[in-house]
Order: sequence, then structure tokens, then C-alpha cells
Amino acid sequence: MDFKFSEELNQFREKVRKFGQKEFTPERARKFDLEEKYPDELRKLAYQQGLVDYSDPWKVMISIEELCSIDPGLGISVTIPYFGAEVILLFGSDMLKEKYLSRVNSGEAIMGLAVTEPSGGSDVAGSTTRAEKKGDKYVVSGSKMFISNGNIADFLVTLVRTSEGDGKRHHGLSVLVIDTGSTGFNANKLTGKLGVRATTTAEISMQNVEVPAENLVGEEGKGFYYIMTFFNISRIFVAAQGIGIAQGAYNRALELVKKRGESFSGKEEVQFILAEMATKIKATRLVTYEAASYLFNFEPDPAITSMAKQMAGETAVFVAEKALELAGIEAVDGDLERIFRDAKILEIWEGTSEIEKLVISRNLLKGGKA
Amino acid sequence: MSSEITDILRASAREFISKSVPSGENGLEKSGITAELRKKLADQGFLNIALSPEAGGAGLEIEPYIAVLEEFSRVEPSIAMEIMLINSVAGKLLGHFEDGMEMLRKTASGEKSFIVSVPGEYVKNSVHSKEATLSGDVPVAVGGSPEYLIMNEPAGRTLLVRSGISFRKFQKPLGFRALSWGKVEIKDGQYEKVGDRSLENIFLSGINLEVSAIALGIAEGAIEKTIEYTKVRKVFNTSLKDFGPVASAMSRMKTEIELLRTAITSESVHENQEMIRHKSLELALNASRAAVQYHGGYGYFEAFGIEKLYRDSMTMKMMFGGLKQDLILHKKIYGSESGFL
Repeated sequence: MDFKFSEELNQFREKVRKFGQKEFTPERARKFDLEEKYPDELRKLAYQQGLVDYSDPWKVMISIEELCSIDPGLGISVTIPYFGAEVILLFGSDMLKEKYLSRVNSGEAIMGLAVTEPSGGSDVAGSTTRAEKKGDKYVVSGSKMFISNGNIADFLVTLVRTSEGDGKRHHGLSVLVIDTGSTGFNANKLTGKLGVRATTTAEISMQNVEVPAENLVGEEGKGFYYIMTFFNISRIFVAAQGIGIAQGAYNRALELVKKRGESFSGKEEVQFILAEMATKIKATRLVTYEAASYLFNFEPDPAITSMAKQMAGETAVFVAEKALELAGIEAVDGDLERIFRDAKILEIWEGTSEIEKLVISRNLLKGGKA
Repeated sequence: MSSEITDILRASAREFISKSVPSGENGLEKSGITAELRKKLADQGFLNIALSPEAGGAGLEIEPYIAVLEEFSRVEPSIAMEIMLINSVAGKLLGHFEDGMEMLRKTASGEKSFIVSVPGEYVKNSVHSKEATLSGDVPVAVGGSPEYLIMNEPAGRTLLVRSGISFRKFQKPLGFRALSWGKVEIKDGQYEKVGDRSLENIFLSGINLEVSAIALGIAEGAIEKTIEYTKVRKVFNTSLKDFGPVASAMSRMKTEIELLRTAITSESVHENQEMIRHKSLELALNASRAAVQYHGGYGYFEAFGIEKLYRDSMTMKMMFGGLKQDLILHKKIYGSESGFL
């Protein structure tokens, strides 16, 4: 067991950190948060400087962690343009990879994943968006909700129902790549989020949207499995967001405690809080790296992945709340309050903590390892 | 047991909220508490509810007063906070001298408005006075309009500053956004000392029940909305309420709320006020966090009015919790100074 990253990855981490410190200034983070504006220029800049390197998953994790520790809204925004790509990578045709992923890889395009529907956040198998095959195309109608990148993406990897599927709800679902410029496609940007306000979220409505049949990912009826496989990958990157958020809140709290001097830092109550924060972050990082190492070696363990995601959400929220308690009322305006608002989404998106607990326990009951 | 007057006031507060407080898109947070709304609150007797008749108030006892704070907090905690700042902060400080009484009367009738510096162990108000004027900075103040300022100075005195106030408003503070938050710069401001009571002391131990009532109201608002939501929201073709962990969490929190309400309305309330305050602040944060969680993506958006309660309860903890507050509780429990190392 080796707990050290290679020199190359350590240098990469340093490079990302320097970029974040230079570009994610508190003023800029505050502006994008207040205006709920997607930082497209920063996305392009991060891409140009090679900080979002999709060819190495460890580098992606490191970028997410480091950038989110400086500002979660901006950090997630610049690392999310590839969201959903693994579905095409693992199950899509060469044509789809070439036509769609190459444009995202080159920093030209942004993509997203459209799974959640207005009536069922966690209930993936309950998807009702219909895709009817007519000749060499599918005709899609339905709605999607809370779709990250929904209104800025060039295309969306979309879960649709192509048949009733022998009475089992999770059968009969398929995945289509849908161009957002298609006739009948409409994305409505949702505003007024608690946090991660630099990221963009949309409600999608599709009315008889025509999609070429060749845009089907893999086989018809296998969509549920593809999406579940995707979640087992993406949850690790989401856990990295949580680690970054917690680390960012902790760094600021530690700085503040030191600045206040012995009268504050000398109190055991304060020291215990700091110790609890640091311990949770360390434990979360370890379980996340363990889950990542299984996945990146093509031996994913869904239970450990979900443990990482659940723990990362809880740690981010815990550390952000404790940091504000330590800071007191002066932090009612500033970086820490923004981080607190950003943290809560980690327990909701990409599988709520409750869903993660179900995944963990069901795997354990089937003989998975704890 | 609540008195008849308390029941009537609770009902009036509910009616006022339904008729006069904007709902949806996070209620008052966009417009703030306007002069018009302040006037309406005054006309209905809420703004001056616990002030003495000389200050233009109804002079009501603590029980109906905190019941009103609790009712407003279920939907719009900012209103409750404003009522508390007038009745329990300005009311305790300004009623001891003639000019102050006049100012209080105008404030309670909605004609005037004020801000108050928020004391905190590490909030440093750096001001210096010369003869009749004062200059310096106050890092955090909250309230209505900055027509006058009540502040604590480092030496421990509480001052009323009538002029020379420049208020730099925070654009989007964490919580209680219908109020004004900001930094204050004072330049040659006319000031006077108000009474012997320090503002810090009032925040630390003079408003325990008011703080508890606001926190309890937030917890109630959050959990009641979530209980209703979990009855109608379905996942996996099943109501959310039918899932064991959801029903358990809601039942546990509702139980804690009812126990706290029993404590806050009991005859021994004054005896246990430090404990009630501590538990209320904790419960508000736990309940509002759970409410966001069980509302899922919808709870994360302002339009549902849930995330606001989470922000407000966190702000309450920052404003009324903290290490000094813990020491007060420790002393209450042990009977002597404890837990200071």
C-alpha cells in the first residue's frame, strides 16, 4: 500500500493550486456567485493551461479537489464540461466518440447528462421521457429537471424510455445523445440556488425532438445499467468536490484560529473542533482514494464508491458549518458563508446520501466488503 | 398552557403573514422589510408588542411576545428578528432617558428605523471619541434603515450614535436577508451613552427566550413543511413518508420541537432559559438542514422557502451561539465557572 502520489502528480497539484489562487480571487468568486453566471472564460483558460486533463482520472480528481478548495462554484464549473462523457466512452459507438467527445476533449464543446425528471429525483428507473423510434430516428418528448450545464451544453447524454420493458421499471430505458440545438428542445435556466451559483442548472423540455437513431448509446433497453455504471464513476469525482470544499473551509478556519492567537487557539474546545474537522477530511480522502484506485484499475466497488460520496457530502457540510461557528458573526458575509452554501449540494446531487446508504447496504448484504 | 391573549396573537400573526408578507421566491428577501411593511407591523401592534406603554407599546408579558416571534419565524424569521431588536434590544437600552424614549416611540410606530452592531468575542468595533463626537468602524451591524445606530464600544459602554453614519450594505449576507446587514463607518458622529447595560450582555444573556422562540419557529417551519412535502412527494412509486428513515427523522425532530415548546411555555422557563436557548439553536440548524435534504433539489432553490431557513438558522448560531455562550451554559449546569480551558 502506497499513500504517496507520484512526483508528476504532486507537481500537477501544485500547478492547479497556483492557477486557482491566481484566477479564483475572492472578488471573482463573489461576483460569479452573486450574478449566478457561468465562468466560461475561466473554463477555457483552465483547459488551455492543461489543468483539466481527461486522459488521466487522477489528474481530474486532483484538479477538482484543489480548485474546489479555493472556490467550489468556480472549481466545479471549470471541471464539469465533460459531465456524462463516460457513458459514451464506455458504451457509445466510435462515431459518437468522434463526433461528440472529441469536441469536448478539445475544449470546444460542453456536454451534460440529463437523467433527473421533475417527478422523481432519486428514482432513475421511474423516467418517463419518451423516445419513439420512427424509421432512422427517435422522436423524444418529455422533461428533465436540475440538469447541470443544461442551458450551456452543446449536447446532452439523455435517459429516455423506449419501451415499457416487460413490466420491470428499470427495463425499457435507453440513452440518446441529443443536440441541444434541435427543434423542439428548450432549456430554461433555473436561478436562485442556495449555492454553487457559478454552475448552471436548467429545466429541459423536449417536444417531438428528432434524434438520429445512430445517436443511441449502446443497446436499446440497457440505459438504466449504463447510467448506474456512470454513477459509480462520477460519484468518485463528486466525492473529490466534497473533499475540496471541506479542505477549503478547514484551511480558512485554521488560518482564522491562528490569527486570533493563544486566547482562542489555546482553548481545548476550539482545538477539538479543528481536530474533528481535519480527521473527517483525512478519512474521507482515504476512502475516496481507495474507491478511485479500484475504479481506475477497472475493478470498481460500488459500496466503497458510495461510502466515499456519502462521507464526502457529510464532511463538507460538517466542516463548513463548524468553520462558520468558529468564525462567528463576522463571517455572515464573505468566503466562508459562500462555502457553507455550496457544501449542502454534495448531500443531494449525484445520488442523495439516502441513496448512497441504500447502495452501500445492499452491496454489503450481497457479500460486499466493508 | 397558553393564555387566551397568546392564542389570539398567534392567530393574528398568522393572518398578518398570509395577508401582508409576500410569499414565493423567498418572500421578503428580495424586497426587504419596507417602510410600508414596518408601518403595518406597527399598526397591528407587533413592532412594539413588549414595549412599555410610555414607549408606545402594549407592555405584554414574555409569553405572548415570544409566541409572536415564534409564529413569524416559521415563515419569515427576519420579521421576528426585527421585532426582537426593537423590543428586546432598543427597548432595554433607550427607555431610560427622555430622548431615547422618544426615539423608541418613533421606532415602535414605524416612523424611524435603526441598526445595531452585532457583538461577538472577536468582532472589533474600533472607535475613538473626542468630546461630543465619535469616529471609527463597526464591522457588522444589522437592522432596518441606518437612521441611528446602537453600538458597543471596546471599553464596554453602549452608545447611541445619531449622525455621521455611513452604512456599507452587504449585498447578499448569509441569513436574515430581509434585514439590512453591513459595515458602518462613523465620522464625527454625535453620540451618547445609553444606560448601564452592555449590548454584549444583552446578546449573551438578556434575550434567551426571544432567541429560543425564533430558533424554535424556524425548526417548526422547516419540519412542518417537510412533513407535508413527504406526504405528497413520491419516489419509487411510494410516498417519501413511508420510508422508515424519513418518517423516523421527521418524528424525532417533531418530538424535539414539541418538547422544547413545552419547556418554553412552562412555568420554570426562566430557570432553564440557557438550556432552552442552546437546544433551540441546535434544533433549528438540524431541522432546517434535514428539510433541505428531504426536499432534494427543490429544497436547494429559493422558490421553495426552505433553504432560507437553513441559512437563517446557521446565522442564528453564529450570532447567538459561540464559546462565551457555552461558558454561560456550563456555569448553569455546574453551578460555577467550568469548561474554560
